[in-house]
Amino acid sequence: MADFKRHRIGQPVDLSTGTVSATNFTLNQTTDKAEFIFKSSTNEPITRVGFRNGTINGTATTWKASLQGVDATNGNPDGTIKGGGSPASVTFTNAALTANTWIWLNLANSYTPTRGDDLALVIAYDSGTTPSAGVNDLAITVTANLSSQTANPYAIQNDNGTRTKLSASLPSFGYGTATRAFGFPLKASYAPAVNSGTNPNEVALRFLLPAGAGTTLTVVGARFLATVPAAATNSLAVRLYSGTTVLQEVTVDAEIVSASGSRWFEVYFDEAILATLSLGNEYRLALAPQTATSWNAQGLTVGAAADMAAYIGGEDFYLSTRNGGAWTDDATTRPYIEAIIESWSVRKPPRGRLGS
Amino acid sequence: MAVSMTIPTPPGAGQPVSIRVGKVTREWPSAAAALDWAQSQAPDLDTLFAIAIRLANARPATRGKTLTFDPAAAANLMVIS
Repeated sequence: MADFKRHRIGQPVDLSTGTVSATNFTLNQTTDKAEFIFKSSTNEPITRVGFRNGTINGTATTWKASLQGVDATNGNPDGTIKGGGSPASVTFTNAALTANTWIWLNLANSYTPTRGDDLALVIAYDSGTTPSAGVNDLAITVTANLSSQTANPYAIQNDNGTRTKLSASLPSFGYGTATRAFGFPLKASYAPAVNSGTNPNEVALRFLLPAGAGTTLTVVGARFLATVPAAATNSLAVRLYSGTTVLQEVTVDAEIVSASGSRWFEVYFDEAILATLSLGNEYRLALAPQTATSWNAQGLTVGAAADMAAYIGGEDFYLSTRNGGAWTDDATTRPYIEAIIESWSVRKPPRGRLGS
Repeated sequence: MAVSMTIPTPPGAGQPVSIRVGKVTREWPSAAAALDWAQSQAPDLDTLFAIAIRLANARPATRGKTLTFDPAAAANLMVIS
């Protein structure tokens, strides 16, 4: 097999940080807007846009979500809705929303970008009753602690015309074609306390690499984001599974750490010969606390399994849990667990086959 | 013009925590998650200095004011006065 240079797979976004937590900006004036600036990663027609909302009050105000261009001089939306006479926009009221969750809205007209185009998703007042705080308003999740500092894409809080660009984390927004989601769709955080006495007592990243991408691989270690317990002598088993068969295992503890709390942890399997995995088959990389003290797993949850396509790894990487016995899969959740790849192979076609 | 942020009474275990400043609300899924985040942001005094500098830069009215944390207070646990 070829040396795969310790590439890692599994993390949904680069630089994932701790527990997903929402920062919401409340639209309660006619001139308030939540704005998301991004570069299109597709050249297929964009048919829908999505966002996460917090609290909602009243249903008498009509809002509009629209795709706009970006002013190259300042990085703000340029105020022109794409599509001209067939605007790429959609109106809605709070009656279509549920507090603290994700929603996709179909645009009245699709818009076909060129991949790499600078676009803006703008959510703003459209018509009807004037927004007012606590009576008719809408809180939009602008960022959610998905990552560390980001330059692009980014969210903007437009407070009555005064814009604040947010750089602390990736923005929480989405856009999609008829068949695929993009952006960072997000419904909720995933941060359960897991220990030897909970159900489940094991959480895992279920992963499957497409068969066409290669033949075999080996996993030399794992990185995961968890809340390391403060108490000493709390061990955690990290296991590589095929079904319920352990292929590789290493045990670590909470004593050899910099600090407790939400931290990235890197471990390496101690088997002299690593198991040969086959692309096209599913495997699981699991965390199994060995004591009654919890190691909180971390991750994110999306509204529907198809939304996971927006993240690195796509829909073939998701959460599995168990309390002994069979695994229970949750395709809408991605734990922050990565596999560190040691080697990768691609089987060469046999000689003599021509023209088939 | 004073700027104040009211920190609510910590909720029950596993209940969401939210803090609001003006139109911006920051939410965490639990008090433990909020504390974990805060601790990751403020491991030492440097972050307190950074908070003071950034606040003074963003809100000129706070310059020269005193930022007080008082966990024993019944309400308004953090006040700029």
